[in-house]
Amino acid sequence: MVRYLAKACFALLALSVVGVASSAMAAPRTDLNAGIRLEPPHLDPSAGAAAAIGEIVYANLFEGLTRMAPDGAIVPGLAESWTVSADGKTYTFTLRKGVTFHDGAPFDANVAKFTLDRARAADSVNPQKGLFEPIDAVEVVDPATLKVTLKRPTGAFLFNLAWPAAVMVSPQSAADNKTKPVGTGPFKFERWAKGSQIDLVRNPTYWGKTPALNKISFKIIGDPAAAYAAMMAGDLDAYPIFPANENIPQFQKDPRFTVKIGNTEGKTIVALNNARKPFDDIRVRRALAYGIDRKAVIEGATMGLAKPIGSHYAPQDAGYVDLTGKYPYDPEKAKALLKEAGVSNLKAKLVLPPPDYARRGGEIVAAQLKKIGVDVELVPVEWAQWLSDVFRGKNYDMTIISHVEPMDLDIYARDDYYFNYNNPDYKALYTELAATSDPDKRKALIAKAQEKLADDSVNVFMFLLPKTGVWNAKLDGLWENAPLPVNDFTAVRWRD
Amino acid sequence: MTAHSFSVSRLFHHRSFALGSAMTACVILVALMAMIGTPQDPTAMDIAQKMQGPSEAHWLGTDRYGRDVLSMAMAGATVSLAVSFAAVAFGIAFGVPLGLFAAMRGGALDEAAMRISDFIFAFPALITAIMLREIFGPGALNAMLAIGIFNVPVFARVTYGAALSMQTRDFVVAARLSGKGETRIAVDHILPNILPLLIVQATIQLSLGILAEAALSYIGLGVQPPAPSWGRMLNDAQTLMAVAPRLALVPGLCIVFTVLGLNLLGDGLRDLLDPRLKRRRG
Repeated sequence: MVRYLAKACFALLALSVVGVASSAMAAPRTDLNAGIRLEPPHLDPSAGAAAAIGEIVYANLFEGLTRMAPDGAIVPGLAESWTVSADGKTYTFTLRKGVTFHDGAPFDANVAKFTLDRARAADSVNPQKGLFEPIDAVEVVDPATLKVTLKRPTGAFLFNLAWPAAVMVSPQSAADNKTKPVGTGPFKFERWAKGSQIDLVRNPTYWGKTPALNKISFKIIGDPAAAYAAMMAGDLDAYPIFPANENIPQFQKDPRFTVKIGNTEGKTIVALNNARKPFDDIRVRRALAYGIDRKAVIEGATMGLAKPIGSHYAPQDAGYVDLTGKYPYDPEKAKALLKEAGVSNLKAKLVLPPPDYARRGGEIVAAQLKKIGVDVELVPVEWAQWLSDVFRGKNYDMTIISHVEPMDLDIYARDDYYFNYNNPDYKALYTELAATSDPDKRKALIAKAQEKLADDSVNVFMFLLPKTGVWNAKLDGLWENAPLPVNDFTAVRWRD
Repeated sequence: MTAHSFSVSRLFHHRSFALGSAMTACVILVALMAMIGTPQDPTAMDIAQKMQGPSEAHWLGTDRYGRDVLSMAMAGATVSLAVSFAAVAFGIAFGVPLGLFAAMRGGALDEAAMRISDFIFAFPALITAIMLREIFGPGALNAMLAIGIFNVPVFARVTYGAALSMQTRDFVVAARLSGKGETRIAVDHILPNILPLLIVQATIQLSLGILAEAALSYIGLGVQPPAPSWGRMLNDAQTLMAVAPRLALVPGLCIVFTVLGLNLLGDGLRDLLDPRLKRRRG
C-alpha cells in the first residue's frame, strides 16, 4: 500500500513538473507577487500619511497631474503639458483627453479642480497640506485646461503635484477611496485580504500604454525571516525594499535574483529635543555629533549598505553639499565640549520606534555615547506610541527616525515641529528659498540651509537609508532608487 | 524520610540525578564566574570585528556588533538564573503560605484562597508580562515578577494538595490532640514532611523559569538592551541564521543544556524523595 502511494505521489509530482514547465514555455508570466513590510491603514493617499499607502496605489492605481520618473525627474501625468507664466505664479495645464476613472466617471478640469480644492480646504485631512498651501486659486478654463494661480512663485510646485498625496480623485468616489480606491491608473483595485494581501488587476480601459502585468498582489510580510523564506521559496517575485540587510549577500550570490542597492530619501537622524535641557545648548548637540561614529553605526545597523549624510538632505538631490566631514568621530573633543557646557553625568532617554535601523542603531549609539560619559537609556516603543509621545507630544530627549519625504528642508522652519528648533535665521532662509524659482539660486540657498542645520547641529545626521531591492532575475522595470516611497510597477514585465 | 536516604553515594547512583546535578552545577558555576568577570565586556561593541568566527581572542566568535559571544553567553547565564531563582523564590514566598493556610483552615476561606489561585493560574506568564510592561515598562524585573506571579498558584496547589493528605496522618492527629495550634502544626509537622515535594516542584519551576525568561526577552518584554540575555541573543541571531547559525546555536544550546539539566535533576529528586516510588522500586 505504502509503495503504491509513493508511486502515485511520484507520478503526480512528475505530472505537475511537466505542467509547470510547459506553461512556463508558452508565454511569460503576467502576474507579480510583491512583498511589502507594513499593511496600510487604508488606501487613500490623500487622507493618510502612512508611506505604505503610496507604496501600493501610487502610479499603479492613482495618478496625479505630474508624476515622478524613476530618476526623480518630474514628467507629465494626467496633464500632458503645461506652461508657467513669466512671474512664476500662474501654471496652465493641458489635460489628457479621454481619461476615465475605474468606475467610468470622466476625468477633466472640473475633477482636477475638485481634487486640488479638496486637498487645500480648511477641513482637508490631506497629510501633506503644505504641498497645496501656495495655491491661491484654481480655475477651469475649459474641460481640458486648468489654470492654477499661486500666492507666490513656488519652485517645487510641479514636484509637489507628483506626490502620492496629490493624486487625482473623482468627486463620485473620493469619499470611499479608503476601502474601495477608484483612480485613473493602469491597475484597479480588486481585493484586500486584511492582514495578508492586496490585489490590483489590469484596467482594460486605461488611457495610456497597457502594462505588461495583469495582476499585482502586494503581500504583507514584515518579518525579515519570513520575507527571506518567501523570496527563497518563490512565493514572492519581488521585495522592493527588503527588510533585512543581513540577507542581501545571500541574494547577491544567488543567480535567481537581481539585487539593487539604491537610494531612498530616508534621512536617518538622531533627533534631539532642542527645547529640552541640555540639548538647547549648541555645545552639547555638537558633542553628540562628535561622539557618534557614523561609520560604525552604518556598518552595524545597515550591514554597511547606507551612505553617510552630514545634514538633512539626500546626496542625490539637487543642491546637495557634502557635510559629512563636519563632525568627524572624536570622543575626546566630544568630552571637552560637554565639559565646556558644564554638563556632567548626562542621562538621557533614546526613544526607538520598531524598524531595525532604529532598534539596532540605538544599541550602537548608546554604546558609543557611553564612551563620552553620556548614559543613554533605550526606550523601545511601537509606532502609535512614537507618534503620540514624540511626534505630537514632543515629550522626548532623543529619538532615532528616518525622514522619508524628499527635500523636506521645510520641517526645520515649522513653528511647531517636534525638534523644537525654532530658529529665526533658518526660517528667514527657508522663506527666501520657498519664494525662489531660479534653479541656480535655489541650489545656492539649499546649500546654505544644509550648512546652517549642520552648523547648529540641530540633530545628529547619520545616514541615508538604502533601498535594498531584491527581485526575480527575470523581471525588468522595477525602480532601483526610491525618490518617493512608492512602487511604480507600470513598466514591470517578465522576460521569457 | 530517614537520614540515610540522603546518603551521598546512594544519590549519585541515580543516573538522571547525577547527570542533572552535574549539568546544573556547571551552569551555576559559569553564572557565578560571570558575576566576577567575563573574558570581555559583554556589552562592548567593536563593529570592525563583527561577525567573526571562533578565534583565540573570541572563543565563540563575535556577533553583529562585534561583541564577544562567549562573554555574552556567560553573562546571559547569570541573568537567566537570577531571574528564574527570584521568580521561584517569589512563588514559594506567596504560594506555600497560601496553600498551607487553605489546607489548615478549610471551609469558605479555603475555597476563596484556592479560587484566587485558580484565577491567577488562568493568566499565562506572557499575558501577565504584557500587562506588567504597560504598567512598569519592560525590564528584567518585569520578567521576574511576571514569572514569579505565575509560580504562586503552582506552589499553592502543590502545598495544598500535600498538606491536605497529611491532615489524617497519625502524627498530625496526635499533635492536634496534644493541643498544638494550627500554625505550629503546619510549621513543625506538615512543612518538613512536604518539603521533598516542594523541592522537586522548585526544580521544575526553575527550568520553566529559564524558558519563560528566554521567551520574554526574545519578544522584547524581558531583559532590555544592552544587558545580555539568551533570549535577546536568539532574537538578534534570527535574521542571521543563514549566514552565521553559530550565533543562534550558542544561546539555543545554553538554554537546552540548562533546562535539560534542571529537568533531569528534578526527575532524579522526585524518584529519590518520593517515598511511594521508593517502595515501588523495592
